Amino acid sequence: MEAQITIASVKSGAIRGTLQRIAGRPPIQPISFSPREVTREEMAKDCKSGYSENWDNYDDYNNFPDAPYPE
Amino acid sequence: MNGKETIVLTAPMRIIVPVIKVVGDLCNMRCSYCFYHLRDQTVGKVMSSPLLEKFVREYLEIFPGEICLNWHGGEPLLAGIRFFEEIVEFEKKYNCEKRLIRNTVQTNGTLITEKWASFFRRYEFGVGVSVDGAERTHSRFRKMVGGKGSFLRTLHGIELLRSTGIEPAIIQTVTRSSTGVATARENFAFFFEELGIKQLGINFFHDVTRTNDDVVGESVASDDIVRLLKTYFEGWLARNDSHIRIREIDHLIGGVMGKRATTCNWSGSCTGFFCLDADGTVYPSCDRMSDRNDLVIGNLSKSPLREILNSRKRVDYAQKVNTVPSACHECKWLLACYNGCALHREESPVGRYLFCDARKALFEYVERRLTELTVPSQSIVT
Repeated sequence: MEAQITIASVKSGAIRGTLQRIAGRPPIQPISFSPREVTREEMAKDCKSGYSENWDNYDDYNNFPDAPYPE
Repeated sequence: MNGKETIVLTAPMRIIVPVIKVVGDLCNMRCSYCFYHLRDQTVGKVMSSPLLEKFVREYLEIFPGEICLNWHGGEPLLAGIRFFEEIVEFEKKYNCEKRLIRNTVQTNGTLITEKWASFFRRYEFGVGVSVDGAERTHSRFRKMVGGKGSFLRTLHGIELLRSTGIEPAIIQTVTRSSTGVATARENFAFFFEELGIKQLGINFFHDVTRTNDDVVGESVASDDIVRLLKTYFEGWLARNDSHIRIREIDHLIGGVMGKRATTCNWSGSCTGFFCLDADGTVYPSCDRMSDRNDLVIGNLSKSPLREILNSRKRVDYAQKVNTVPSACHECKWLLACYNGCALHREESPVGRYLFCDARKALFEYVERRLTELTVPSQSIVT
């Protein structure tokens, strides 16, 4: 899936901006959808310090401009 | 299913995110394509203060860390500014850990006043405004109760927001008639040249229930989506402004580049949300499913939120939604798509994504265009 496309090699400024914006996002990989029972403490450990395995995506529910994750 | 102090997560998110319909279906507009069109939108009940307080208290007790509360409707501003002041008051009261609480509101923009704009600015609400495009597109379906188009009122609301320093994110609902190349170009120019927006998200209209006589023939098909997004993609490339973000293009490029998407219907996180209606009714995913009485998982006025979210009915629903059709496992783009929005699936919410063909075609198209726009000799890793 990953093409040999990089920020520096792309001629379009719009695409370079997008690549910079999404650079910090986690890679696509198979994820588990199995229901998992967690405590509040376990959820807290998974709170963002950058991205985590169980990352958040709620910021885009309404498409808000200043997403709370590093971009 | 579990003990008192745990919660069952069913999506690849660390918490479950609420969408709160503060006035139920009540709205001051009658958009032809609204998914509440079968409901009586003339009556509404603002969520009671005790219910609001119960929700904020229990939600903050259950979920740690940064949280985001999405205040929706109907038209949420019909709840009145006092209701929103109460939201902030309850958040202060129960946010003992002083963590970041993000409030977002999705509005049609027509009720925004200087007072509302100042309030949103003061308390740092994210504001999303629904705009369908240039006036002839927007006002065709987005009408006030009396039948007049809402275009000027919505734009006035955006002006007021901007006067306080808020740059709203725009959500465009796209019907088939706005996917023609000429109309798409006109709307693209309106958004990015005339209105000067920087953030656009696109919702595609599909009359799932086929019960809406006002929009017969307006449901999009895969070809329509491909045509529109190719037009936007090429317009976006030509404009070449790195500050303009079109959500769907972000996800297409992200998918090609092997990055996970940030939106529910591209990342398989439908059941990472729940919907709380004004009367306390809780649904197991976002507000788009809140016309489905068969999906109700509880009522917050009668039960604790934890008990509702941990209910077997919610978990069973999640497992249905999260099970993709077998054909998806053969698809190159599965991990960038996850079978799309559960609302737009054959035999919703369990079947194949209705716009599967569009997704595949668009990923292939964007992959090819990125390759064409890349200088082959360089290979610097992002």
